[in-house]
Amino acid sequence: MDLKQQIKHMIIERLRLKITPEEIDDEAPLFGDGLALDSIDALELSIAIDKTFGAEIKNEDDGREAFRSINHLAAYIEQHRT
Amino acid sequence: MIFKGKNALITGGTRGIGRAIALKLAEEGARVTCWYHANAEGARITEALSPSITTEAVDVTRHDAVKSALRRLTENGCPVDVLVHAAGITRDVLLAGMEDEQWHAVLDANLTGAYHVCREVVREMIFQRSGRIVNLASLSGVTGLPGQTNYAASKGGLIAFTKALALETARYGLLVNAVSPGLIQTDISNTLSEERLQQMTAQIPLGRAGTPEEVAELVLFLVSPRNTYITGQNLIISGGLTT
Repeated sequence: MDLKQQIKHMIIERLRLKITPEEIDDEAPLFGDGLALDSIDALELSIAIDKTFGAEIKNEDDGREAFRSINHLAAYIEQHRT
Repeated sequence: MIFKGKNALITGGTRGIGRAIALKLAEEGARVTCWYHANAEGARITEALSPSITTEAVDVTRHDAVKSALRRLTENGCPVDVLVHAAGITRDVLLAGMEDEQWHAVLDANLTGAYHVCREVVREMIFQRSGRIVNLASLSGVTGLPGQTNYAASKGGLIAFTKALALETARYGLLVNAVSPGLIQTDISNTLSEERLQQMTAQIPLGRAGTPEEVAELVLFLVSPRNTYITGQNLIISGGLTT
């Protein structure tokens, strides 16, 4: 499974979303429009990304960048993986 | 053995109330890690109490030290199910004569230390969607005590911190509470003069100071699976000193 697929599976599992990975658009924003996640989802997601992929989202600026879309999140993880 | 299979982390766990909590948790089946700052002798004594207790010197005022010590615990298969933050110090002095060092030392250890430990532990607990935290505060943080503006501020701050954290983490199933002991027989109360001790004891309706074991009983309940609905509270254990 490629990284983007892994990310989608993780998001659905952690946030218990009632959708399939295919329904998540690689370009759509994760917050606001798009998946419409909230700030508390963001906290849980950023912790899960740290634990699952070893890429820490240190602050809100990092989060804003990473959560712009699945594509951005995958790029962020590639870059910050330890 | 209500804590069988659970991992507990106790900061300030090698003396006084922290040690009493560590011992009771170990007796109830938990694997207990006690962090201490400088009390190597206390650490040796505490480890000798039970094979389930291990101790480690970790300075909670240093965020990086807390982070790496916790990572070691998690990687060794001991993700923290129960956290008791009991690390605390006093530097009693009247405010008018207080030195910067006395202010900062107390706030750093008691309040910033709690921030460091809780921040990192909570990330684990949110991921696991379960966990119990008790922060050891003090009656001084509720009512104030002369000579303790620094200590009272740190403990009052810790109580408010605990309440806010409880609200943040309730949706993940975490229970977060504070316990505020009154006069308890520990190293901290031993710094009081005999006269002051007698004066304070005379005001306690139950007529005596409490023991670390009595505080430990309360903390154990709060962090046990028996507690399912108490969160965001500050429980005062003071022999009736405040009602």
